[in-house]
Amino acid sequence: MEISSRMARWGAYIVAFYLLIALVTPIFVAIGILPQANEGLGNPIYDPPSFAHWCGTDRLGRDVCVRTLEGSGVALQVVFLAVTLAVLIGVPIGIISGYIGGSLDRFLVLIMDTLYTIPVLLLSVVLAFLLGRGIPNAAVALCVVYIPQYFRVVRNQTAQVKAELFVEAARSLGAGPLWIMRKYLLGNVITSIPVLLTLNAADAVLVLGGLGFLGLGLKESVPEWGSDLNMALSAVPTGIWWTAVYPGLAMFLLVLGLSFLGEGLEELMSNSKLISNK
Amino acid sequence: MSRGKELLRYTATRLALTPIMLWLIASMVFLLLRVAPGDPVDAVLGSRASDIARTALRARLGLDQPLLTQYLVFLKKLCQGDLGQGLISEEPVSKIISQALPATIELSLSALIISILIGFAVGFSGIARPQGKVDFWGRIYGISTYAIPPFWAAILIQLFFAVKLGWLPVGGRFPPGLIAPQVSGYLILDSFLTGNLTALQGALRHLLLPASTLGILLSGIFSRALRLNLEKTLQSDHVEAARSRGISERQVILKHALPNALLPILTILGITIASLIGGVLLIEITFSWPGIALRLQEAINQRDYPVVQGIVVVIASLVVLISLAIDLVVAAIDPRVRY
Repeated sequence: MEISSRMARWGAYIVAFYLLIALVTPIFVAIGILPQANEGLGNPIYDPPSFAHWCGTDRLGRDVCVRTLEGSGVALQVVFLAVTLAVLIGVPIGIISGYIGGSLDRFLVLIMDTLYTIPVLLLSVVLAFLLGRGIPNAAVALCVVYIPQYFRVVRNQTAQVKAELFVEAARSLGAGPLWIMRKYLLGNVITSIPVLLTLNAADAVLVLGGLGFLGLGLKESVPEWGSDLNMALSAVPTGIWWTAVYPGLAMFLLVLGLSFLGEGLEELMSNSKLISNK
Repeated sequence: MSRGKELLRYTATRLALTPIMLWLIASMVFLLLRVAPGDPVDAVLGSRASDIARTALRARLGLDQPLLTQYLVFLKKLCQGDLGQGLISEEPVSKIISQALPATIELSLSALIISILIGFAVGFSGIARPQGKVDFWGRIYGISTYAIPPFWAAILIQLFFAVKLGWLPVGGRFPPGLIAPQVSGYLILDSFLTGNLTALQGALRHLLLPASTLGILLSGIFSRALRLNLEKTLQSDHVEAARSRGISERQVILKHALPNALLPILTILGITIASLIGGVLLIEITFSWPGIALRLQEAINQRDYPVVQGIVVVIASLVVLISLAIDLVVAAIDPRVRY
């Protein structure tokens, strides 16, 4: 209990910090405190960290520090969009499938189970390959990967709640299926979403980075951690470490923060459930 | 229903569903690649090619047929194990895959062994004193190994062990300039078979960094699973009974709790396969390990549709079949599994 609430709190701090960076960086760039992320012609290339460039410069002379900072805004945007889409699609389908049951349910379960078996990265690679580069494209490629997870959780819970007495009562009072789904099922099912959402967001940051690393996902000029790391890879044999260390560290800490938040929330919720059951 | 019959029914259902799943995967990949924007003909010839050349290539690839015909031809060939030809290299896709697969399997298996060893060590040391310091750091280890971007971990390990210390090669699978033994495509095995010790040493030196990177990253899953399961079994009645008979805690853990905690590990193994595949894809590219992922990336960059299609279908099918096998084994040996 103690550990989980501390984990959730630290996770929330880290995520809040990233949100702050995402908000503040564009302002700093706009008023000229920080240089532009794609501006590098005037700078020496592969310059080690110095007072002028705190994290050094990359192959094109661009400031690694600014690119890393701007990356947090980019990652949060894509991931937020992807996870929201997945919830908006996965939850209704899950409720409908679980409530109606029958052959429609069996069909949807088979489709979703198949999607679920395909490794996340492989599926998103195929989708990103097809959809092309850009923030909405990458978000769609990521969201398809997470829809089955919401579907599974929501569908199973709906099937459970459906058998409860109060749903039966509502139906016997003449409530239609849409009313029941919205009024009674959604509210009961929605409680499990926040934990899954946070953990999926953590995973999505990694997958987005993986896509960028493979040369997919966002447009080349966008400062994205994964694609910057791919660029850093070619400089590794010469011992240039600063282009690789900072974007990766930023990604690692964000994933860590989101995972702490998600796992902490999960344990807090399961503990509180136990108490209310007693 | 008796347990034997139940098990038989479960096995039959799973076996019947598997071809449907494989068919669904193949159809999805086929359909996705056809509705995708971008013409494969453009990818090969460039957008400035003459109309005659385009029509000819279109006919050769079967793209002038109606979609349904293309689909049926694709399915028929797939059933015969024919995945088509690469657009760029014009090699059969199945040959491209079978040449790249041994390298990937060699890396995956070594990583899996390393991850199980480390995961067990971490999980065990945590359970000795639950909620203690070691336990706490074990949990942090579990989450951190999950949160590290695999390619970043790989780059850091390269920078430290290969570039700074110079102990091991940065990438590749075999020392350049040495002739690799060619029997099965599995270099470690082949070196043993041919008794070639220099080759064995070279192959092992190249394998060590990528395999341990991936192994460490995956070990978190095992340590967490083992810890959770051990905690649960340590609270169960039969362990309590063993304790009350005065058996030492060490004996209780090793003889009474561990066997019960091991079974779910097999289930975890099934789940890990998906993460393993994702990890292997990224690790291979970082270490330029000449396996299936490197071919996939190459095909993606060249927009070589048949190769992308073939590799994705084959990997996804492998995952489906492996998880099927693991689920069936678990169902057969664990009387508690309900289906």
